[in-house]
Amino acid sequence: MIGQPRVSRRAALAGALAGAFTLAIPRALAEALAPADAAAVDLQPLIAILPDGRVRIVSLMAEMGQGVSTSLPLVLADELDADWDRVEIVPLDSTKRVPIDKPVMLVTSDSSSTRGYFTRLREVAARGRMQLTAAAAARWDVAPADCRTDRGRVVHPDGKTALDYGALAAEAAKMPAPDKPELKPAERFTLIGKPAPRRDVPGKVTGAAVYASDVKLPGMLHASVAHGPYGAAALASHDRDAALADPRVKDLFVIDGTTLVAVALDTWSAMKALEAAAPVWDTGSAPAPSSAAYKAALTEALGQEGRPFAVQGEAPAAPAATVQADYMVSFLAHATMEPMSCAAWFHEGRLEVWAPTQAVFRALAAAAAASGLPAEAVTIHQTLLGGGFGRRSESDFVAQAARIAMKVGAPVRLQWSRAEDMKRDPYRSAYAMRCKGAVDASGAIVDYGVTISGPSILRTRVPLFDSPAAPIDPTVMNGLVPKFYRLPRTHAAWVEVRPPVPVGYWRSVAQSQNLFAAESFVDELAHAAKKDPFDFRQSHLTDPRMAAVMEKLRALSEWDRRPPKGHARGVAVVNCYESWFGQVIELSLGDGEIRIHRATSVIDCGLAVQPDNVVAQVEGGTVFGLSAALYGDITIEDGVVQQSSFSDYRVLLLGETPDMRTHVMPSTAAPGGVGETGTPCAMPATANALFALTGKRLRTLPLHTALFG
Amino acid sequence: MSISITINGKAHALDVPGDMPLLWAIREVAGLTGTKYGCGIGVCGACTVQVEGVAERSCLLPVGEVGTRPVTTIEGVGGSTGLHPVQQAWVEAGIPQCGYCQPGFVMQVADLLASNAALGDEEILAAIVNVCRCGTYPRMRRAIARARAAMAAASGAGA
Repeated sequence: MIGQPRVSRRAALAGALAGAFTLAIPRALAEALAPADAAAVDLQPLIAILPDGRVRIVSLMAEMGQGVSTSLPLVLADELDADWDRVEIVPLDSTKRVPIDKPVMLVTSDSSSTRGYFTRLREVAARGRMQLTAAAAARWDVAPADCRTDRGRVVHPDGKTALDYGALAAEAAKMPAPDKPELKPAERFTLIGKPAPRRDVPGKVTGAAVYASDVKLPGMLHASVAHGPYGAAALASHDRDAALADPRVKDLFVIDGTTLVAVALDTWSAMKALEAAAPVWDTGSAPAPSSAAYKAALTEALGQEGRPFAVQGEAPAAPAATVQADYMVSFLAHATMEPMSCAAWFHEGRLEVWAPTQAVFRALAAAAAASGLPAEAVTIHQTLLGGGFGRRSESDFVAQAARIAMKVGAPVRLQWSRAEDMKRDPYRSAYAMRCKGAVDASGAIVDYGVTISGPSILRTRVPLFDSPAAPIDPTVMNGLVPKFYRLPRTHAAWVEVRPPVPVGYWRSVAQSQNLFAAESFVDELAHAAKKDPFDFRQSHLTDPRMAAVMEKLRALSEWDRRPPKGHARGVAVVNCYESWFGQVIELSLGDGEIRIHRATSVIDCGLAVQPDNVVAQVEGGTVFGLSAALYGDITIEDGVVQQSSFSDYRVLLLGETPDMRTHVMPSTAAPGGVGETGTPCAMPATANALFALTGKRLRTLPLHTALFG
Repeated sequence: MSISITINGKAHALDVPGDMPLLWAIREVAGLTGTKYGCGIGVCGACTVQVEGVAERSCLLPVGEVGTRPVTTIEGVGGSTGLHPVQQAWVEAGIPQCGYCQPGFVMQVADLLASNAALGDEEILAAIVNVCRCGTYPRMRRAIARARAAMAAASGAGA
């Protein structure tokens, strides 16, 4: 089994757990803790074969709803010619041997799982398939090339005799793995591109699925935290006696200087203890973070020259019309459904952590640093994630759980309250953009310029971006100057304005702020050129895949049919994560609300490994984008985030969700990303539809606030 | 002090204070973790269970106020025979993404469909104010219609 060096320790642990506590261990967890199956054969990285023919495949990436715990094992299984019904999928943990990549790279982000690992996983599985074939051929004394593989068996050249993978695994593992594996031709795919239900769905409908929030450990205590405002210099006072008056509360202490921790027999008592402690923080002498002050600084910074990028072409002689427009987007929370949560247990000199993390090995480093243990003494078990969207690429909550576990000396599960989750989130920052452009008498764009002001996400994460030689941060730049339009002259610049609070990756990252400006501005240029915005975009396309997407979108959205009375449509397109995407939003106004009636989407993501899941990701991503477009707004006053739950951080609900028409372009091209591609267009497409309806151009998000105050 | 409640047909004697929200008694004392904590203030609906068949936000209901009323959680809504028609429709439509909110949706929808046969489709949708951040709502529309049909057929057959 994978992770053999840990066999003895894990076997010992499982032995200790085999008695009275076994019932407290959920099944998925028991699996993770189970002793290595001595009979299982480690065929290739991520693939183990059991004597009875079951194939155990490690899910390389974090399952946060995007379906990757099915799709990547499915790619391996198809190339291996495994019997999908006998494939078991097990989660990754930090002890697993994964020589497919540098561990630090195993981060589930940037819509990179399928597009990044598709071919590499196929090569791994093809090696295994060829080893199995070679083992069978040797037994039969026939040429491997004359054998074939089918549903977990190698078939003899006679077409009748067959050997099960389970019977061949031990010999196959001794066969040399070919350097250059032969990949199956696409027409022999049996799983890729075919309907295959996600494996994680049934457990999520019956309540059996285990998230970090659901981890149970013997004698486990429950912890919760209160962080205080941003910029807090110290925890000035708290009422320890009041908190500990409840016999269910076991401990109260401070970590990281200002974070108050309560430990209790249950989560509710821990949260109550934090309230009873009535903590007061000293905000220090520095000006307290304020979102309004930051937005003012962003607007002010647009007057500066900034660092140039995407500069090319000659200034036009005498354009027919010039346009200038300033855009502004707000701070956004991730607001995953499962507030931050993590379980940890320090025992027998080792720290075990059950973390809903997008980055197992980052979490490992964070837990090691926080506990003071060497990384070898820390194990991260990856659990299901109750939403990610970028939030769980951070390890702050993992480090906290590690610190608390070291202090408590018992298994402990950390649970943030919803309010803490919303108030301590590495937000998508506010940004401001000033666009300047021109069109000629024929209606063609002759000048396209933009200055953006805002923070660098990478500055606080990658040393290079915090150095004088820092390149321009792609999390600022991406998507600001579209690459699929004919733009004879472009010029962009970035004015860095350091954020008042920590900021981070939010679903679609740079596109989440930049596409609103870029695709709103293209609409403004279309208006200046007196062209239909769809015609205008299509007439500027230089990219054949985007042209095909827009042609399909035009038909599917019924762009050329007049919308119902009182309705209007807006369009936006994006090329990100190696996918091409277009969306039309149809809406109306009524009773002080923006009502979205229909979202029509077309995506070219290359080969769709799980077509039905691509649709799910596009439509879910659209809902996520619409929530941000209409309502998303985190505001900070005196260091205190003003929102604390879904009651004041509004998101789209079932009854407000539009009808969706979604088309996936058939393709055999390399797979592109789909987890984030569906999100950014909703923002400009909705603003463009509102302009079409009202003649009023809204240049700040969220739109509900821009329209109704 | 011990509080007696019945969850999914099984009697539990829970050694908890009466003002503990039912959510935490279910999750951390009875050990049924399918019911989720999402907001703690009755907004998001991740904690929805049924009390005497009526959907309730368990994060707001003190366990001491449940009394003899039977509590049903996601683990029990399918009864002894398998999946509830709503669960069945949810699986068939492939709704869950991260899945964290889905038990709450299932409990809410199951009650709405059972107790409001006369409501129109749009009224049903508007009555469900649970939050799903993955945005699985588009598939729920289809699944709700399908579950509704299945429940109507079942009750018709039983009549």
